[in-house]
Amino acid sequence: MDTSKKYIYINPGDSSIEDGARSFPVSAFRGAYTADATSMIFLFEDAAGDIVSADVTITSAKGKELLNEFAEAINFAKDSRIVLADNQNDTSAFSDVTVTTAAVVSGGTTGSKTRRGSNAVGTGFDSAEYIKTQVETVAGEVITTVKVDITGLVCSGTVKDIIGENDAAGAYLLKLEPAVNGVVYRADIACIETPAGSNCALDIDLVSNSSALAEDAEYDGSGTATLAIAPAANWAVGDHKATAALADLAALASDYIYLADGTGAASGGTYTAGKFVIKFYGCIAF
Amino acid sequence: MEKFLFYENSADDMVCIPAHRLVEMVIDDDSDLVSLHHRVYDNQTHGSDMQYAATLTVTAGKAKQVVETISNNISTGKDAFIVVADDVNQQYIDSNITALASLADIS
Repeated sequence: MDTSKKYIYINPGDSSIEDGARSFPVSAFRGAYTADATSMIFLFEDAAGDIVSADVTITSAKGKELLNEFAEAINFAKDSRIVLADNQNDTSAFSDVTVTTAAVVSGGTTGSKTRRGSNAVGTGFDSAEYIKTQVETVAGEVITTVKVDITGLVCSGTVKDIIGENDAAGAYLLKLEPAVNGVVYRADIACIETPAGSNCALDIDLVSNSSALAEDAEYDGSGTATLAIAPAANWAVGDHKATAALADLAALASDYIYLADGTGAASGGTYTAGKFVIKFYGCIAF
Repeated sequence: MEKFLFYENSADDMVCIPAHRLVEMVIDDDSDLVSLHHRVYDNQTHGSDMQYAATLTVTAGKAKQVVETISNNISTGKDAFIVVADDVNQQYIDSNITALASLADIS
């Protein structure tokens, strides 16, 4: 059978549901790698060009055997549908897939994505309701776009304190890298959904620091910090703020990026709403 | 046939990439290293880095032969699953490969 007519099926849903099941054509497969001895990550490119990862539990140290079978199935299996992992029916075309453990499918157009490698979200921020980073180059300008929903994250209530998971280290949205994001010369932030949450600061700043800091830490308490955008007012849907003209953003190029309390007027709480789009504009050194 | 390149450092560090994603093979100045670059995602793919590289340690002066062996296996080999380098089982696509020098995570 022509491999272009084959599809790889993954159903992370248990019991009797198929919600969230994904089928990808073989041509969308981008690679697979081990996260550890019992975890194999399969990568697919979805319709929007986003990368979807499927974390499949496997028999310990059987990764090579599984990948070999996977290659064979793509080329020689008779069925057009190759079941990689189906937790609903506890089935897989591969004996080394642990079918009783649901695959974890993330990324792509149906969910938020934790970017791997460069620009990865910090472990103190990755439980945000949604966070997704995209990097695109348009006519030589590198545009790094971060879409974030801060629902579920914690605000300490103290001005300058970093927003993130309660007391968790690494509460950054991303770490900019000159080789990836370029020399950043401009940034802006737009509010897509008005932030809310009992006793939460609704005046939120975009800041950076040379170090990976924890939630509740002052963004400029140590390291080298930059206050990129401070609205000095509560955010509301439709608001847009940008860095000032001639602002020195040189440090941003290799800094960790945070959201921080812009006011100490609130006593602290957990956000129940708040969506932002943050953009960094830069150019790779030439 | 859809072919796949396989690299393994250890039981918990391996990667498999469609062969058509191999975009460049680079021999170093001493001819004892071959770096294989894979464009796992397109440059414009959202939220993704672009390249993934595996570097092979090879017998000095034999890098060109290694590159040729890899090319031949991709173009005319019968196997869909091509083990380029497997340090665990000491299995290499060419006898002049002595080790997998580096294997970075896909990022």
